[in-house]
Amino acid sequence: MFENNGCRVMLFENKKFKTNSISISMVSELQKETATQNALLLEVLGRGCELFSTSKEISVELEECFGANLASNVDKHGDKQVFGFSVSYPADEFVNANITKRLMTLMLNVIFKPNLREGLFVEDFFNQEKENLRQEIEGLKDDKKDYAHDRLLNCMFEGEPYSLCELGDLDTLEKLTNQDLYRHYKQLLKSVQIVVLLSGRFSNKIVEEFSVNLNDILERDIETQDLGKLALKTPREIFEKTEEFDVTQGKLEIGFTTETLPSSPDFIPLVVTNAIFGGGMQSKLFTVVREQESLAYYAVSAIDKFKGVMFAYAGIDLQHKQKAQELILSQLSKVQNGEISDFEFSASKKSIINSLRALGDSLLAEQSFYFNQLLTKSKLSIEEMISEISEIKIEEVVRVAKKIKPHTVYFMTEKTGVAL
Amino acid sequence: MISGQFSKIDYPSFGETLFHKKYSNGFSAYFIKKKGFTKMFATIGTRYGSIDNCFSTSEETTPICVPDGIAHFLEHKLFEQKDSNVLQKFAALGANPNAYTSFDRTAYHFTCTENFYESFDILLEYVRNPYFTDDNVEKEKGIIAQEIDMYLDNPDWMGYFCFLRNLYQNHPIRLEIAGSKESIAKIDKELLYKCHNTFYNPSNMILVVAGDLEEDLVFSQIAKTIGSEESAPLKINRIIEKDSEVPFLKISKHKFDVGMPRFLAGYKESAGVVFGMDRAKREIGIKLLYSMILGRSSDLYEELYEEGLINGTISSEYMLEDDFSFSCISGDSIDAEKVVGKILQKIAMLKKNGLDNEVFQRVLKARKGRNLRSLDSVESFGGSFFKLIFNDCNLFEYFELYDKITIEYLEELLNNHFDESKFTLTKIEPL
Repeated sequence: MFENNGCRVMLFENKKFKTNSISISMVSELQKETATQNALLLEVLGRGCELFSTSKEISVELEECFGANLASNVDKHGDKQVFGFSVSYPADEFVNANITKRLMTLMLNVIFKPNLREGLFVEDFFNQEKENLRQEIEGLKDDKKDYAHDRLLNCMFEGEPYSLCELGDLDTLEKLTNQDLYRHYKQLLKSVQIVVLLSGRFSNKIVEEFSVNLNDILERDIETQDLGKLALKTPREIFEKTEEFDVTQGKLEIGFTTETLPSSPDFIPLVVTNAIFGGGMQSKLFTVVREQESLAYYAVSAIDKFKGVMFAYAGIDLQHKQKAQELILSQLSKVQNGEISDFEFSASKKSIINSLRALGDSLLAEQSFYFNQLLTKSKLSIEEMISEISEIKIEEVVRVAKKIKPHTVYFMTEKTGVAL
Repeated sequence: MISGQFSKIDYPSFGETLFHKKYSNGFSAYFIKKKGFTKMFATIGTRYGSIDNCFSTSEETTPICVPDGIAHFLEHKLFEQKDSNVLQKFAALGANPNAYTSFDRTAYHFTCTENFYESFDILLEYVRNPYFTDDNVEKEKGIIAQEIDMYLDNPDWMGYFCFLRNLYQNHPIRLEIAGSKESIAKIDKELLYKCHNTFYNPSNMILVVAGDLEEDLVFSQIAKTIGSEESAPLKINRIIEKDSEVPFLKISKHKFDVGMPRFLAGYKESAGVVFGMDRAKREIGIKLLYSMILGRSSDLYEELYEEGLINGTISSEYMLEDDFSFSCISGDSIDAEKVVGKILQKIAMLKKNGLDNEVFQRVLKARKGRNLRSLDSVESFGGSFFKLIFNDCNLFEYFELYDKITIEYLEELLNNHFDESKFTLTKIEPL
């Protein structure tokens, strides 16, 4: 790994695949003032650069590079906003061409050498992308299953950065000008932390060359910061909220605090707790809420390791909210009381181990695992995690499960008639 | 080349090897060896889906019609066995099973990173041995009702069905795959057994395995189970209502709680005309044409995007199956009619002036690079291989076909598929 000047370049050699992947991510604090600008910036950068002045020229170059796939990604990981570009393409030796170099050039050009006019982004690009981002934000409500989760986060983290949407908000977007965005961009380049992940087949020479180019292009001298500082969510009295939307099915979402972050020795027991509670078909939620009570098609739980929280969610009949909520909470109580069968315990461990072992079969999954390790300051490798999970005792699971407390219950229900 | 009882085919241009055997009861099995991969994958499926709701067989010649959604219901219920739940048996081994039902297929699969052969045994066993009771059938209705409701809240899914109902007036592809709460209420264990006996005959089924496994072990396990099952191949006569050659509706409008208006548009086509490798070639051809017409590097895409008529999400697909065939273009737009107008105009122009060879070569090169990369996932490659092999086409040969596509062939398809009298438009508007 190369670490310098606010940049990390991480290489994951893997010769099993015919694919290579290069991802360049910027990591900044998730803040109302900048979230919208970062999301919009990404789209404007994708519109053209010095070497390829339009999206069309970029697309032509990607097709010439044997159908390379360039994607822009914006996400939130806890209180951090992570945004950037990634490109996947067939490794050079399978197509007898040096496309790695071509695509590295394209990536650096797209991010750091935008197509400018009179010292600003091309006005049409700015206006079109502003409108497209507006449409994208308005479209977030389209899939009600996902939207219910966004609404839970909004209630659960009210007043905190994590309640913000990674795409930003409509009010901020409305007021943004091309000048604002360009000023933000110049400022960002001076200070933003950058993480580059290279997966597949890369020679040492090309990695070194790339690192030097990146450093030169940035024209700055800053500290490389620790990216793994996390803010743990603290417990409170349970809070309930119901909202009405145009839905047929009720979406129940429950957020829990776990008081456990990935850097803690309690984290591995927490992962097992989640698998027993609702992470998979061996879990209590699947077995009880779906199979025994026929209340839901999906009833699952998941951990958000960046915030030390856990979620449980289910799509249910509008009439069954109370029943489903009680059932879900009572399944957690069972785990906390140690009512865990041998099957639940061993199948849960196997299920996690299976997912961990399978990570190595996907370039992108493995890449994102190690990126998340960096953002959560976790040192365990995949193999170490597997061995810790294999050796875990049921008492440790129970002890860690007891720290879990319900924090927010969100229910999305149908619209009722307007009251007078 | 025959090696032992099964045949072995090498594909040196992809660095891959395929094994295959067809059994005397009509069952077919394929194994793709993926050296160095940790994940192992197996899927077994049958030519049976939501459209097969009226049928007769060589044994029972009187046609019967069954409730909508029964193929999907059956898929759910097969996981329940007499003394155990299959999902839990897989879970105990650390394997990850799943299943799906489409218009004309039902498939069951699992992935794992250990205990493959034990899980494989379960897979080969449970799909052939249903256990339905009045109680367990009733209980499933609540779960499936929630699945149906989940789809009702999903505008992508609902929009797609609105489009299909534009294309087809009578064809059962109009029907929701899971059926409706009313139709599934009519399902009972006798009907489920009847459908299972009809459609889960080994001659109607195919198996695909992929992973770093031993071919001898894979095939010997099949030989001991479904491969040696004595059952006479059953001839199934599917009774599917005939539909007109042109779309049922030229245009339709629907309202959903979405942020942006959406559209789905496309061309209907006569089905059951081309088979096997010819079908595969046609499919490749239409997909390449769509890339040339409105792919990201096309003039049309650039024009639509710059005029604010699309916001980035415009995609195309082509379906060519035994009983239905159409292409579909979908995206978000504030002015669907204008987008469609420009697409039709572009197609007319290409018909008149011919295709650009430079664009053709580039699009072809891009597609071949993506084909190569698709070999990197055991699960998704195995799944794609499985879908194609039902149409008598193996995915490696499918990829090799790209070398045989010419610009003349695409021009022929351009004139043949893109027939304006078979075009339809579906608009989805915000509330």
